[in-house]
Amino acid sequence: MKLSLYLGCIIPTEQYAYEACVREIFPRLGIELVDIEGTSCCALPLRGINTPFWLYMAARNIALAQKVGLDCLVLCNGCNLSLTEANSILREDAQLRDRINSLLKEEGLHYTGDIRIKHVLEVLHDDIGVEKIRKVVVHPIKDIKLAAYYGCHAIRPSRIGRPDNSKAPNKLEELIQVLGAETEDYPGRLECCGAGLMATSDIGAKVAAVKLKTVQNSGFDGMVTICPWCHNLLDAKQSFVKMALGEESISMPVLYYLQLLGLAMGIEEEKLALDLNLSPIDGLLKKIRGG
Amino acid sequence: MTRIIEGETAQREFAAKVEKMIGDQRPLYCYQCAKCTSGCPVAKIQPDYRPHQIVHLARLGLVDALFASPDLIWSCAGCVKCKEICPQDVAPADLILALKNIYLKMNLPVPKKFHEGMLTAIARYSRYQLPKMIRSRSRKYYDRKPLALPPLSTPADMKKFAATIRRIFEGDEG
Repeated sequence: MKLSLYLGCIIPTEQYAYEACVREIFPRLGIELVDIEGTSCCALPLRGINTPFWLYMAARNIALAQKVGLDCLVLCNGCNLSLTEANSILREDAQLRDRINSLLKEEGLHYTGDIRIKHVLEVLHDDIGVEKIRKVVVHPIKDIKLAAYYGCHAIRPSRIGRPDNSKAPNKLEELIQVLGAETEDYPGRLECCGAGLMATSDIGAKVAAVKLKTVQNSGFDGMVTICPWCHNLLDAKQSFVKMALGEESISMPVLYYLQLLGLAMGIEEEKLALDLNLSPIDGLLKKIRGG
Repeated sequence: MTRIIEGETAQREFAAKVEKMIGDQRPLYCYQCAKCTSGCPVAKIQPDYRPHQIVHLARLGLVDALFASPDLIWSCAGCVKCKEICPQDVAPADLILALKNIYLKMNLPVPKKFHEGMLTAIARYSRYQLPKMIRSRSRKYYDRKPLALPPLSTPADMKKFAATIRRIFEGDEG
């Protein structure tokens, strides 16, 4: 299977581990990735600032992906929602499509929306498949209980089509279990991490603190993410959340699912950029290596 | 009586205007069941934040009350849960996005002015930031190069890219 790869902003400029894992792991699982030339921000964080601007930016990236002629893997939950929803709106509204196309003409681009936007969860679970992943596990993750964390936009809004069910998603749990690890439900499993609020309100850090504490109090050894925004807040900003709220007891290892998969596949840790996780993952890594 | 009727017309006009904006928002469909508020992650932490009240104010066209404090519409996390659980397809999350657009057009202050730096960076680099240097757990420094990640591509003609963005914000398109 061949897909074009859209990276967005936060992955290629900050959350490098995600990109490193994608480039390392997907080709090993039979997914060839083709970079898209000339892409930009998807503008989802600016949808409230100027919605036509968001729609133009999302359509522009889709138009560039169309030129590659493949369905497009959009890693970030936010970008994925952005491009999927833009596709959904523009396919239904010919007038809006014409307006956007008149803007795109300036750069010689034309939006048709005839490619699919794919989510990492969908590619792993539905295209590659759990059984194929089972076969590449050489180092099962044993005696470790991990909290699956989807983030909001992997499951909502269901109207535009999301990679898993909004009320009872289970694909990430299946993908964790096939590696040998345990997982179970916990309070707030499908609730927001707070990242969408960090730019405008202090509530974002509080939402994240509640999430981290809940997972910790539910007896998990770690948390597994698929969205770079969730990961950035729960992993990279975990010490900030702790300090800002005086929640010194918070100590939660956070891994990208692809890092966990890479470990189970026996890929060298350096290639999974595990040094870039800023949450306290060393104890968990030791446990995983020991298993 | 006349004044109430006039007021009602203005209110209906506001709600109708909001409904025409891009998104699935349908404030006029709301029957105030407050399911959105009961599921809202922000309301759990800040109990005076009530999405169903935002819908109600929008439906009544009470713009002053909606925008009296930036904390109201700018406290939405965008998690879209309200849109998912609404029995009437009101889509409060989309409504709040539409209200934010109107707020901006009224030149009201956006908290932390977060968008200004982002827009400048996007017009200049196409992304909201350039690759950052990250200090790792073992106190090494990483950007794309040490991880052997390929160079990032940008729009072929940055001037045209930036000009279109300006056109959207300055012209009628916005």
